[in-house]
Amino acid sequence: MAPQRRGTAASRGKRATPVLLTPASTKSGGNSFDLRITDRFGNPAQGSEVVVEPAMPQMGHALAPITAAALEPGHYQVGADLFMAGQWEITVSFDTERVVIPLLLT
Amino acid sequence: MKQRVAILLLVLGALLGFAAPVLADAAQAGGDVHIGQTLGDRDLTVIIRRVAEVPGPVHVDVVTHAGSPPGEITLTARAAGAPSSAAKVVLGAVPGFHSGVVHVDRPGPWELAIDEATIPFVVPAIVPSPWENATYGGFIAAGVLLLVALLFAVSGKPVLALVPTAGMVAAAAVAVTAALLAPSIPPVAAPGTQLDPTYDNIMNPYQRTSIVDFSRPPVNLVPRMEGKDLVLSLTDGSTGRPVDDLLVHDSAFIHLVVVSPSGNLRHLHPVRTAPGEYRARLRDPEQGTHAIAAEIARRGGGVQLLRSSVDVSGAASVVPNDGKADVATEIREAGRPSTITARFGERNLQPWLGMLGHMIVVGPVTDGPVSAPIWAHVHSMIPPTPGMPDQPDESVAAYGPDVPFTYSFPLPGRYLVWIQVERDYSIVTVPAVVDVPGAKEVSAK
Ligand SMILES: [Cu+2]
Repeated sequence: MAPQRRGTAASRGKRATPVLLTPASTKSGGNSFDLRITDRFGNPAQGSEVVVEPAMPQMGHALAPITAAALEPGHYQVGADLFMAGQWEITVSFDTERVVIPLLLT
Repeated sequence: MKQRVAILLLVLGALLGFAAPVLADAAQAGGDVHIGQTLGDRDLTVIIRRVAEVPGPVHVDVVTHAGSPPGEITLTARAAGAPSSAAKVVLGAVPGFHSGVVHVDRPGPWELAIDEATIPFVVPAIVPSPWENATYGGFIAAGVLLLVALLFAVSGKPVLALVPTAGMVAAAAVAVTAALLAPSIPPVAAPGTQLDPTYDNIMNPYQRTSIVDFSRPPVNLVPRMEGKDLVLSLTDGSTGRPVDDLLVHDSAFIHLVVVSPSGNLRHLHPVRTAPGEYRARLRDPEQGTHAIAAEIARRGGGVQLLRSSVDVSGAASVVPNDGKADVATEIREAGRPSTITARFGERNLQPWLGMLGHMIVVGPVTDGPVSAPIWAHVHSMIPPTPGMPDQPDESVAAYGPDVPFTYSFPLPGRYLVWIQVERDYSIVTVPAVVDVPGAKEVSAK
């Protein structure tokens, strides 16, 4: 199956920061996310540390935050072991932004 | 005509092969029930194993923990109108599994009594769903009609064979439709988890009710001391009547955490002694006002945390929680996920209450746990094993050695933290203190 692309935009005040998260897999288990983060002008986000915080609200369970590796400006990669099937919430945080992206794993 | 029959036969074979996994998916049976019970001076885990046939035996495992005095307990299975069945179980001095067998003679709401504690449980009836009946009935009818058509065909009456052939197609269509629709039919409300279990709704579980919202009102908790026992009275927040519909949630009816004035933690699982009344013994208590929090789930959904406090008369000082582990923390500012990892050295931890570890968080503490605004219960999970529907029980001592927790402390300040795991049938409680800094920047959320 082709990886699904999931995008969402965080808006805070006048700023809107699109984050595009593409999971390598939609199955539970070892996974990796490709992250594209752009600023409000559409340019790749620069410099800041990007941290991914996976959680499963229905289970009342959060995983330890993982710092994403920068491949190039605005482009990040991070691996995560999402060991259960079900509805996950992936919070991507950078600067003072926190973007929550839902991810359903089968 | 014979050729057409052969083709239909092939089609039918293909349909059956397609429908089979759908049916396997639709048939679900109940599993084992694990329930923590703080019964007198003992901390027990009671496991009511899946009831395979009715009438038939119910296997009950009683797991004792370190420090549990040896002795004898009586298991009794009771139901309205049914003969009760009792078994004595001798608990040895060595902690571990002790088994007993009681008998049930009918499906329905039952009660397992262990001395003065009572555990309500449901013995399900094996009732095929209407769509299973349609599927099986359709395929059986199709098979019979196929035989009739074949008989007509081989006896040289091909035109007559058309009639049963048409019937067979219709019957197969019914069966396939039922099989295909079954996964999309919403499940009925389950007696015992959403509905109050009765003999009637257990025998007829596919009857639909008009209820849409199963959730129930909040619960009022009133604690009191009765001798050495902490007695909890639970009443409905809307009617004032006793609350007697608690579900087994994370392997207990009530997860009761009691924190003494000096910061000593007990994690107990009170036993039900009457409708709306639960009790747990506080062994060798400390003098003073204790903070208590009870985690419960009512039938119909939703977990509630009930906080209160109770005055206890006891000794001026007690033995503090003395569990040992190497605790590594990575504390972030309030509102961001912090991680706390307890390293226990050896891979011999047992699941306790279905989890690898529990972490209780109380804080920020300014003038004691009673007034702390935050009270949390964090889990470290055992990853599910594919193909193992039942949770591993305490006999599996193969987990750890590292027990990680992730929690976002909501407020800056000093928190009391206790990490609990099970090893050698003994609950290990490791106390720690965590200081959480404020947010570096004011983050608008
Ligand atoms: Cu508990």
